[in-house]
Amino acid sequence: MVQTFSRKKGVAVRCFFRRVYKAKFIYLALVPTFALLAVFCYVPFFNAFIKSLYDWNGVNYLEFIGFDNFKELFNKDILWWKSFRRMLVIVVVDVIKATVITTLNAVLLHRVKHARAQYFFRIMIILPAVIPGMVGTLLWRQFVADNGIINEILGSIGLKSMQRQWLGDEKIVLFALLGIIGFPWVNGANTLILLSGLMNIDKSIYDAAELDGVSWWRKLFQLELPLIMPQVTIIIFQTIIGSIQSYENIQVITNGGPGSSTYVPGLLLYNNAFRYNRYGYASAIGVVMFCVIIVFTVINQYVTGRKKNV
Amino acid sequence: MYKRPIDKIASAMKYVYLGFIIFCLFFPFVFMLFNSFKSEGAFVANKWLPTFLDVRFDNYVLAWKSVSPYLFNSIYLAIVCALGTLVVSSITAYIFAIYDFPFKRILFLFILMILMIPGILTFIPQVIIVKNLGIYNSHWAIILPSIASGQIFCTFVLKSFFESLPSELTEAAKIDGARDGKIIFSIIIPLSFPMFVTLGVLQILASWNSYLWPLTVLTRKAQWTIPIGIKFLSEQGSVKTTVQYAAYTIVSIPLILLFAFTMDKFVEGLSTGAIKA
Repeated sequence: MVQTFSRKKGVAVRCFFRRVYKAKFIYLALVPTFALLAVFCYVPFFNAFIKSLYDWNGVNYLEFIGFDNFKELFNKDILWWKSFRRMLVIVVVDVIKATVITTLNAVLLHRVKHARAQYFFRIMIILPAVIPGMVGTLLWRQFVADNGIINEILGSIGLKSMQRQWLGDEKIVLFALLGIIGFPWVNGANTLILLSGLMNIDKSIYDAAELDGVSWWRKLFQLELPLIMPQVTIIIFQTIIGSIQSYENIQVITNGGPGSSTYVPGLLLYNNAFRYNRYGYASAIGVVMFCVIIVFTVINQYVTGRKKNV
Repeated sequence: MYKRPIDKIASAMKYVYLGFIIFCLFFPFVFMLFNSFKSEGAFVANKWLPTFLDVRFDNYVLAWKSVSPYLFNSIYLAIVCALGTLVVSSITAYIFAIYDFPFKRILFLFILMILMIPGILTFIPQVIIVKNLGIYNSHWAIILPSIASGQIFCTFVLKSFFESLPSELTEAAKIDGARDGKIIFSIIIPLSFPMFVTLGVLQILASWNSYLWPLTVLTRKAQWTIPIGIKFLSEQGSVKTTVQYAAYTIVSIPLILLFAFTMDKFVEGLSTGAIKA
């Protein structure tokens, strides 16, 4: 009994090895993929956690200090909590931009019944996406400068009292940033996603609504919005996850200034690593950000996964 | 059907709103474009109206001198990154879609998991790895990581695309005695060409716009890409505003041209790209 069992097992094992051997070219073809993933994704992933426990200058000085980086971050770094709160504000504003304004655009675009006009608007909304983002950022940075055209317009329409040092005043610089990044807050890709969601709504539902003489706001809130909710959910989570990590525009426009009034965690990480050579400390910031992001990733998986099962 | 006046007004408002949005979207670029043809004096005197009588191209001559190296670097990197990503990811996707082999599921899970890792966590260790590999300050530092991270999304899209191809086609070819290579080159690749264009466009866009990574791993000016280059240019006090505008216009042209030829693919690519989650 025991013997037959083990022989069966032996056959199974041999079979398995034969199958592995037969697939040798398949594994060979997958080597580039997994080599790249290992070097640039897996190793950095674990390295980030390990190095967050070290005092490390990135080159030669490496000392294990346990959780001291995290203690310093939470207890001593005055920039951390301020920048974290600022990040929360930015995330909320970004989500509003990405949902309210995008939905409004998509719904209005969908109501344009003239086919060629709709095509024209669609192309126009997507076209800025092919101009390098840096061009837009630099232009807006120039427009809100002290002698930029925003102040000039305000001066010429008699609102001289409204003129500000938009990027030089600690109190208003965050609002200026939120206002000019991506103005007029149209995200072409997201608009198209919602638009295709709207276009997939069954015509018969619209006809039924038409027959019942449903007003346009009921059509919006009780018909269109519920039906494009899956797409809106995707956009919301994507915006949150992207917005938590993003600091590129802020780095270009104000680089955290004036003073430290526009620091965000990402910028804090970047400057600690590449300006002050505190790689261990910067890794610790990265780990904290990862923990924040993973919460949203998991909620996202849960929400979208549950939708699929229903 | 009778329309109430209020409906007509509402319908007109929709066009007004969309027109306003388009105006706001394009205002900076139009402003940039017509001022790039002005002399500095004309720009200071009146920046609000285009000059039709006194069109100057010397801004473009100056701007071309300073941005052309960045432009060529960016074009080169965009093409290499996009092609590399497509080659690597289509091989992976094809294998996972067609063949069955031990460890298939777990290997795929290893790719799947990467989507959970945010870029901000791996940014610093990646820079260190690039330094340790000795490719810091070379274009390999852009190409390899961009293939590594770009392939994941492409693999997903291509895998489900290959799975959706009708298997009758490949089976018929097999019966006729076609080998794997023949099947791939005469059936799979022609069929998935539109998909390749869409994904390629997406990769080109990503590498064209990436700023922080090249800024960190390329310190020599000769290797810089467009975003770093024009940001550097914008901070040179000696470069006139009109010349800056000309430079911005020059670097915007290549992708606009590409867009003109592959408009539908672009639109498709941008909307698939956003459904990463």
